[in-house]
Amino acid sequence: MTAPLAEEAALASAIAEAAVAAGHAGARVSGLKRLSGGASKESWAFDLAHADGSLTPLVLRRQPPALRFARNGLDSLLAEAAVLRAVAPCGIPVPQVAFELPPGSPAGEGYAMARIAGETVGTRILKDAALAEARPLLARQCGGILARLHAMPADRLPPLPAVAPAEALAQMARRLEATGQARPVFEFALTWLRRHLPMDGPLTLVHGDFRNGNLVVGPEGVRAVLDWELAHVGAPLSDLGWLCVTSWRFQAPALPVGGFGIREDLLAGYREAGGGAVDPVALHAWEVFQTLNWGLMCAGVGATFMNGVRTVEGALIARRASETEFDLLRLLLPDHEAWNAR
Amino acid sequence: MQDDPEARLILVEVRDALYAGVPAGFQQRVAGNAVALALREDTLAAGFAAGEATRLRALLGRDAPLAALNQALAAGLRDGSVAADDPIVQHHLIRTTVEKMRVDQPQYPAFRQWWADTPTDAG
Repeated sequence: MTAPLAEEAALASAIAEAAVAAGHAGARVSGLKRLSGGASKESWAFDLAHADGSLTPLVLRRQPPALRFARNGLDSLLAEAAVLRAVAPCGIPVPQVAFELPPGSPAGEGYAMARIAGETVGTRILKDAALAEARPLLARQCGGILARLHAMPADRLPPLPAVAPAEALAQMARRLEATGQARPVFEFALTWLRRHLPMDGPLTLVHGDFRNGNLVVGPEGVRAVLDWELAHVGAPLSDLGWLCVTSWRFQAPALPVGGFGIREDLLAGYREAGGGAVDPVALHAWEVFQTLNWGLMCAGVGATFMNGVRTVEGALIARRASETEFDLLRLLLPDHEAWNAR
Repeated sequence: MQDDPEARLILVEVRDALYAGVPAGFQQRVAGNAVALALREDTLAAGFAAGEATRLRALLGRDAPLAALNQALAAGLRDGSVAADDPIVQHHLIRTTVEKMRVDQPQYPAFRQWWADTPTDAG
């Protein structure tokens, strides 16, 4: 996590160079500090000190030159910045992009964006007393944000990968096979999804990781949506389903929307912002899909561990696959008599 | 059956992390949780595996090592030769998952809630 000092100084000067090139004449970088998170992509907080002495709090998202090929989701951080720039004017709260790193920058590939004050840690969003008045608003606000996001006209978007539901299901089957472990519950869920996941309907821009934990929340509600690296063109309900996955409810599993709200509020917000009426049966199917999706991510970490990339944390994430099996069976067999006794 | 990586492999990583030096706070809590999981597996997994194998033999009508039985169930669900809507199959999936959760994450909030709300088999 801690880069050597010389490396940090070099990064600071590379950022300042990019800022100057973007029109911030005489800007300097102060208070550079690595933020926790991403394995392949790094986030750094810093202040841009302008020639007139004022400070702008920013965050740099970057892929260091050495990690250029460790890619997942969007093609590049520049594509991510392009998505942020495209959605910002459309009523979607995102950190404003300040400037991109120019090609060949010693800092690697990336961009700087506004640093927005507020809470991002999911468990704290659910219990911080200062956010007590925000919590009942969040589900409806999330519905509104997602409706505007899904209404983005395609011609205003940078090129993005498109994944239709049938292809997404086929990818899941391949991911399950690649884990190398027999998983009857995942097979059971896949079989169910092949029959019940809605395959038709328009594809739209989707965030891809819209959940409690990727939102900046203040006392008035959602201030920004972060982590756009999985943005793509897909089924809009996949975003709503992901937001309702039980794992993202943290200590509040009884509140299906992120642990802070109910589906009725989410869908009301979605409808009020022009997203149309959502069929609760279709939403349920996407919740099943996304629960399996998270389960396959955990199982994939397990396969990585067994292939030799070993950490304690990786082992514990791998052993979280069973929580998704539990959630899948609660979703798919809620009334089975086996639940009546333990 | 319990998922990969098994308890022994987890303990190897905890041991190496402790030798390398685990900082207080988050990393230390993660190491403690990993040891706790391995201890639960040591106490519970053998009994769970025996019950699971008995159920699978009855479901599939043949005997084999547990991993092979699990593979056969997974393949059967995939190709439809095992009926996904058979309540006995479903019962097995639920039982096995509950047993995994008792080892992996008894404190997972949704599981803990169900466990607290549910009477024991005898009751």
